Amino acid sequence: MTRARMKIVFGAVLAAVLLFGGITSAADLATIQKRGYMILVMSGGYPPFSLFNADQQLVGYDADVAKALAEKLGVKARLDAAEFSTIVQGVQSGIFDVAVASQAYTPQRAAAVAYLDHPYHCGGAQLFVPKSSNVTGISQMQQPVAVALGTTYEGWLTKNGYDFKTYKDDPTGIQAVQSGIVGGLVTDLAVGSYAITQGAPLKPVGDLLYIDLANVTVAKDNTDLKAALNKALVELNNDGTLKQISMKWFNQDIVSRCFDMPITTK
Amino acid sequence: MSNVVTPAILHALLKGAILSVQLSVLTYGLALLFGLIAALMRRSGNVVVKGVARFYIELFRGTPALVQIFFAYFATPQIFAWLNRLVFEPLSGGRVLLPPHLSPFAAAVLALSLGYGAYLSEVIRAGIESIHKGQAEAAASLGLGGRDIMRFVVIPPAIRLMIPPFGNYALALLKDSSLASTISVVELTLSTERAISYNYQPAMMWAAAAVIYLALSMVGSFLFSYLEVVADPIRRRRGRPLTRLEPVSSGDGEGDA
Repeated sequence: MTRARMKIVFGAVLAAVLLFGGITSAADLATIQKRGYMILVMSGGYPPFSLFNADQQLVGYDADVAKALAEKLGVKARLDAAEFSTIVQGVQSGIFDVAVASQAYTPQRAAAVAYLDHPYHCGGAQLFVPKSSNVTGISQMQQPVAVALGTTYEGWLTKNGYDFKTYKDDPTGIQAVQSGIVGGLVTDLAVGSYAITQGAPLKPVGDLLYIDLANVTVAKDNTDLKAALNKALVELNNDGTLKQISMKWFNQDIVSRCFDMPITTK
Repeated sequence: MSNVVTPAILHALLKGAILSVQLSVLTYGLALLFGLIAALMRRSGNVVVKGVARFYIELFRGTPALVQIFFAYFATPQIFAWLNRLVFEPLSGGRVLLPPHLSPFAAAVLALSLGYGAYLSEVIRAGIESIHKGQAEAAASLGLGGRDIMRFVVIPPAIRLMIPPFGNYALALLKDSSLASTISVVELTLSTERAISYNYQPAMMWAAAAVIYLALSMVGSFLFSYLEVVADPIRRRRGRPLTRLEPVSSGDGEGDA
């Protein structure tokens, strides 16, 4: 490429970044109320938080919380699924109004989207290995472990120097464990336990790697919507709705013990 | 193991396959249109028109289909918001506005059809240019005008040359339609993934998906073989398009006596 051409290309890239960088396309509260429905996104590949039932409907803990939030705001809930690693950019660009996608807190995400003041459930990172495996902890892993792309589990494995391979979601990671490409899977304890009840040939080993809180996020500058959702989430906690949804999916309360913790708790 | 192959899973695969076909057919139709327009623009004498076509072709041939799909889905909302603010709102007073974002299906059709349009335009151009100049000159010397030369002398044999590459790209598109799964279009690939997240049978389910893709592409392949015959006046006249060799004894070629 000639120097002049390179200048043109760089100029075009720079122009594109400058033009579209500062523009927000997220719908504010008034717009959502006017259109009568709110678009709430989750991964759809994180059972039992979000999964597709036999009728291809999004269901799960995240789906139920999403519906309850929309109801509090007096609008219909439209649930959408997107690959977890694309959810932040989908919220940023306004394709989705709200993410109820079990997102833990990270400073990088907090720079891109806004978190509600309270988490809506908490769990912990857990290593799962094939039933036949003799491994008793993550330090004994001979093979890499599978982890969902863009999750805080991936960040934790990187930081602690473990060998891993990323997949787009946990069901895909479980496929990799089954086919022997990886030696195990790191995900939320509740998610792995649910997969086992559904027939995944896995078992949890070792203690929780760490505890994490899951949050609802909205577009960065969407302050009205954030305030309304904050209020709705507190109400849902106080009136017992969150606990009830938790009992429905997990037979235990995964909300109350952490609802008032700061969202940055590790 | 009771949930390995349930009617619900079969139904989901079928629905996925239908959506893959719809996505591919719609995209291919639009791609042909974009390709034809770009090919005609490239043959134009006007430098600007030619340049625009060249830019379009290079841009879409030179970037990955997956990037185009992500751009069409995740970047267009900001571009639409920007266009609405700067162009549509001032001009129409807020009555005519671009949508806040494209549906996943629309974004996939848009990205893939623009991408394949770039490839198809080169097929069309190559087909037209592969007809020897002497043929057009001969036609001109017999007194045919420019339009008639195109219509009767250049286009018919050119189309015959275009059909095999058209077929190649159609099959490639059917397979590339699986990229739409990344933006949550529940076509065959994504419905297979979702089915596996229930029944934990990756080997069987991916084999099933592969067989369905293979069956679909074989249908496409036969269709384009048939088109090759239809576009060939000699083979077409035999009246039995898919048979190449005929017994010498059957006189007029109408079939078995």
